[in-house]
Amino acid sequence: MDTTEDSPPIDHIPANRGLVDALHYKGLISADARLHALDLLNPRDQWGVWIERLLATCGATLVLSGLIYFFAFNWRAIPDFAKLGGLEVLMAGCVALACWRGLQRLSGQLLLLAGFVLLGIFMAVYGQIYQTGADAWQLFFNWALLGLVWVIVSRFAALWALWIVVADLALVLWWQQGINVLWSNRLYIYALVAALNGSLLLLGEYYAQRGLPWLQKPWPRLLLLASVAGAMVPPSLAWIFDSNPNNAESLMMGLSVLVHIGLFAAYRYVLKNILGVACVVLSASIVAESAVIRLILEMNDDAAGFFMITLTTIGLFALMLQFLRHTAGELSHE
Amino acid sequence: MNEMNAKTLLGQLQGEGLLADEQTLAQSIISAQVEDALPLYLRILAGVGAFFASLSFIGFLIAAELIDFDEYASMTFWGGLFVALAIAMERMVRGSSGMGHAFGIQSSFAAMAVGKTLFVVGLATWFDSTWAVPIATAVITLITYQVYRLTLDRFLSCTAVWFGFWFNLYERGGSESLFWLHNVYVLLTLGLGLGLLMSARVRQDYIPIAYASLLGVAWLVCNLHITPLMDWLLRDNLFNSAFLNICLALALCGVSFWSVGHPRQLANRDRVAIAVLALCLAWLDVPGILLGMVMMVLGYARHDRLLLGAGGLCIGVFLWFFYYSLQLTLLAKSASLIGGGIALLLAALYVHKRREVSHA
Repeated sequence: MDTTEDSPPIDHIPANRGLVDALHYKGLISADARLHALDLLNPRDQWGVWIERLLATCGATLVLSGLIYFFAFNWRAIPDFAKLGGLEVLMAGCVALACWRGLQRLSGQLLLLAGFVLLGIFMAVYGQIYQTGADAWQLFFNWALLGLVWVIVSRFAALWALWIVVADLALVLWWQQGINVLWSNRLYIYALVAALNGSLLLLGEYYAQRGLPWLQKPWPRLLLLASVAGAMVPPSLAWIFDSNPNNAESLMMGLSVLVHIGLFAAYRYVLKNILGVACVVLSASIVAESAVIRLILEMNDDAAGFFMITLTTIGLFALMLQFLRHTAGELSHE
Repeated sequence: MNEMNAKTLLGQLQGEGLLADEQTLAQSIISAQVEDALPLYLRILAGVGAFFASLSFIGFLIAAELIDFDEYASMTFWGGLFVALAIAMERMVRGSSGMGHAFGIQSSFAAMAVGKTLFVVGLATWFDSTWAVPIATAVITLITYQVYRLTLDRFLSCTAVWFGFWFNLYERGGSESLFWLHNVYVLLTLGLGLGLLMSARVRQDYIPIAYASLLGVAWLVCNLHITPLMDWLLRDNLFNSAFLNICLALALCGVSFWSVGHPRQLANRDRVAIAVLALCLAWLDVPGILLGMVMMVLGYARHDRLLLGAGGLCIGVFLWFFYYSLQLTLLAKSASLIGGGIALLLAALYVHKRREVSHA
């Protein structure tokens, strides 16, 4: 039999280095079998490719970081034309090298990423030298706008992730600096962030379903999903804990409910992705838990109230746990 | 890395004629599995729920005045009682399924969190010493480790022990006699973490200890240069960053040699290249990069995505905090990073050339 009463079946047990070494240590497989198993799990060719990518990515990151530090240190000593000219030469060099290496290679993509980072540094230097009086949001906005073409042609998830961070920063800073926002409307920024990231998530999932190879890794889409679901949590908590919520807070709470339902439906029934479902469920659990705490403490804020909160919290998360297990089982059969 | 399950692997080995008895092997693999086989996302959900539940239950205990929080014996006793209750609940629902199992696990986890907290606070109050906190945590962790098999609980408890001992060393850091203790503590915990992850003799049960050790070392490495709280360790020569860098360089070499399975798998020139790269990074004083690479290589070799991701995060966090270090000027830091980056790019080029040669 492949299973015991409490253990998973053998085809559910992942094969990894620890398993192979443990079998060899117990004398259940020979040294040759061990080496052969390790080669099956991590073929030599794949090792070489992965190590090369790791070294290239870390190396590029360190060099870029070092350049940022260098400019920060020598800021006052460098003449203005050298600041701008040097950055332009570096940017052009990175883009030219990226074209030469080709964007289908990791080195080409990393060079384009470096070019994008240098573009941001260039925008900051330009703003410092010419003292245009522009707000910080304009720097990030122009950075995102000017770099968008590179980001699209790169087909590189890491560069897209960086661009999304820049775009989000531009949006948040615009909200804080670019317009006068009434206190009562302060929560709408979360809707804007969710809308921006949600649109990109929708595009990402659409093209991933279409089979675009560079979108097949799930981590960028899961990060976007977490940002969309996460953006709905603060306005939900504001509505829950406000004793007299205004129209904006109520509207945002309604939006939060709709967004959670929509994301759940999409990841459960359309995309059939258990990690996506889990992310949405976790976000919803935090909101639900906060609502439970508020409701119970309003009725009874002494010992009995805390005890009720304990029981309902355990019940709520147990329900979510069981629900996710059941959903995972269903999805594995679909 | 290739994702495959144990059955597929055994089947392929059997097909190559490298296995004698596939059935016996399969039984051995199944019996060695850790019982807490929840996927990571479920463990996170359970952990968040238990966190809220334990906080509210402690609130209940305070509001109801069931426990006298000024009386250490009472706290220690109730702490032990809740721990025992947690173990009993976990045993009761083990092997069951459905809503009852989920409710039981959540309740058990919350009870364990409350029990350990009361036990540790009780003992710390009793002995009136900050050393009592990590010692009490270590005692209760040792007692419950083999009987309470939730990996998240094991990991959190071991992490608390690491940080408890570290902060006590830090509080007493003004003494010269404790100089080597800081360095030896980090060396031992780094060695413990890596040893547990690389040794074939270690059961899966002890992997949370390894994760906790590496988390502690990663935290130290990332924080070492940044805050005034930590800077004085270097400034007053109570912590030797050269020692740390050499240890991490040796760790990178060791992990790299281990990851290929057997020393024969690496040519001499490859071993020399790894050693040169590691020593170069150590000389440039970028411990966060070294540790991040150690974790990523180890994670890739072990098919451990959590470790792989943690290594990448360690590098990113270190680079962010390194900017704020007061120990070095920005120019010196810039030189370190650019030098390190060039070394890594040259290493990437070397690997690329070696792959071309082996394909030719």
